[in-house]
Amino acid sequence: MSDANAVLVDEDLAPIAGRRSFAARAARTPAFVAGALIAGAVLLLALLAPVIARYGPLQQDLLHPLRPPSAAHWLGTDEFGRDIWSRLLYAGRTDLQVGVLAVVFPFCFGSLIGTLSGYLGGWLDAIVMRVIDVVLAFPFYVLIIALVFFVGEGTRGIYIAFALTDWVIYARTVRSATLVVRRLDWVAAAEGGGLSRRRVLLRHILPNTVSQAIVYAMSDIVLVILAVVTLGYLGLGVQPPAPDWGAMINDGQSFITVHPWLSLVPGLAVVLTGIGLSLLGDGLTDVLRPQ
Amino acid sequence: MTAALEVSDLVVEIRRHHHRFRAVDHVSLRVDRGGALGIVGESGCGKSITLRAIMGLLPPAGRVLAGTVMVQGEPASADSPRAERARRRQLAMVFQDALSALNPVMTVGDQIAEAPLRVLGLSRRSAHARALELLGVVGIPDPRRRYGAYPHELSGGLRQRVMIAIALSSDPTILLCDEPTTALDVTIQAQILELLSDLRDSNGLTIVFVTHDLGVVGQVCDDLAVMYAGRIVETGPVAEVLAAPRHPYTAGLLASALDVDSHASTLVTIPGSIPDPMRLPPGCAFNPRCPFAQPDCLVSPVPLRAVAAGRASACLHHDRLLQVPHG
Repeated sequence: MSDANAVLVDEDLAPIAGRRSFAARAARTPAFVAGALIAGAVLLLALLAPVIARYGPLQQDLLHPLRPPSAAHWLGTDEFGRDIWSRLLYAGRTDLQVGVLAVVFPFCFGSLIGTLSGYLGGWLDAIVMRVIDVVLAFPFYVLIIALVFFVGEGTRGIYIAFALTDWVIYARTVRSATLVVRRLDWVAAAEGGGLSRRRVLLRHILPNTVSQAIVYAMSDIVLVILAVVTLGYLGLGVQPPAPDWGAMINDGQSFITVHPWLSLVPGLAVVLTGIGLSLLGDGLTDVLRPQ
Repeated sequence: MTAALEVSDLVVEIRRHHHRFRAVDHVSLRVDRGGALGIVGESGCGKSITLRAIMGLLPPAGRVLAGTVMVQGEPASADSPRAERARRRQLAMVFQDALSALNPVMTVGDQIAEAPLRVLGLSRRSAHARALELLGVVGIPDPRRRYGAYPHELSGGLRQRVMIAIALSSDPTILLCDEPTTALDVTIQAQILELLSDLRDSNGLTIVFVTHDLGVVGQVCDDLAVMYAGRIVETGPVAEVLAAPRHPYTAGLLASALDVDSHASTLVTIPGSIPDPMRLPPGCAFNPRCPFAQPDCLVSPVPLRAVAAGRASACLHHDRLLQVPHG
């Protein structure tokens, strides 16, 4: 080649510096570390429920109801003499599972619709945006409660209600990210280079927009768990006797003045899970952001 | 000889807040095979829009109203999107800002190998080899190690070279460069310009080079087209145009270019500013800023007309420029 290439700056000849893996960048983000630790601990406890729980979640002991914390029952017992620590662990299993599963469909469907809508524009975009406006026009909880009431209480109702409503948030997030990215020169370069639209979408646009949906998904899991707990409290959620934090809070309510831990303990579990996942989402925003 | 690229009477309209204006108005260009044409003008004169219209990459607000683009003797537009993609594969574009022209989440090697793999139909292994070869062609040291680098890990100069490699990866015959050196410092700029000249000599590439820097045009191009307010106001061989401009706008640009040898204490500028494209002055768009403006300049837009062998100007009074000294 020419002598033009003989003149290069030092930087160009130095080894690639500052390359950090995902894990290394994550380890340097305090919010991510804290969130991962809290959410990880909650997840681990829930997963290991059958191993660490000392009683079955439905096992009653009618001779020892409403006992305060003791060596035999770390967090005491409820009105049927069921061990609260064990129920708490099993309830976490249920609620985390419902939270994650309920988010999967809205995440996938919403991201796909948002990408197509933002990239293709035109009539598809117009229709999608109007549908989103209609869904968003309803107060979220009113809509969820109405839908669960309509399709039937329990986890199936929760899945369907979230599938129908929650995708709009992902669609809107990813659509606006797509609108920004599609105007950038590398998309023009990819299109100009003769790549198919599908290829441009999957390889050049989606990887740059989906991180925002992933970050939202973290807080969304919290939102779903809160909704499940709220619905459980209203009697529309996970059906008894299956353990669920919302139902536990509801059951303890009658004894709130004399045995406050009955509602307090599951309430704290919800708060802790929420904090953990929110921190994880915040941390992910920083870790996933392209330099 | 058929031209590598021939643009005839291109008109591009841009929509903005329910208004429409012509960003490119009856622009015609011709570049011979292996030739290099420079398009010069101020920001907003329509030079970048012209390039994007040629590439078929206008933003959604832009629309080609009229005109034809012939690539290697064949029309660039075709009935099906697929056929059109194939036609326009002869063209490749080098952008101004390499950082925004590279996908941040894909290694540079994969970005270079993508067109050989997906468009030219090479095997994975040959595409990889081709990408390494192109990294070498654009003068990137140690291609094997750079292949796996992400854009943000490279310096500005290397990024620009990577972008040129990506442009070359679809085996184009014509390279459209949109101010490829504006964002770089002077030494890196000189390297990139030399690289482009080398590519032109060794691969027979045809180059269209858009810039606002007259000095850059002199280094790379044979021919020059000066644009003002969406129209071409002067064309001709670079050396001749720079030595004796035949349009007062070109003369103004030359006079305002910094000259290292001069000891003038003030920077010469063209009075006034570029007109609002939605409210162009009547007649010749340059007349409010022109020292030679006459009443007849306000009558109607002035078309480009031959003024000498190989030279054309859109000035009614271009003769008067011959009487004043330049430099």
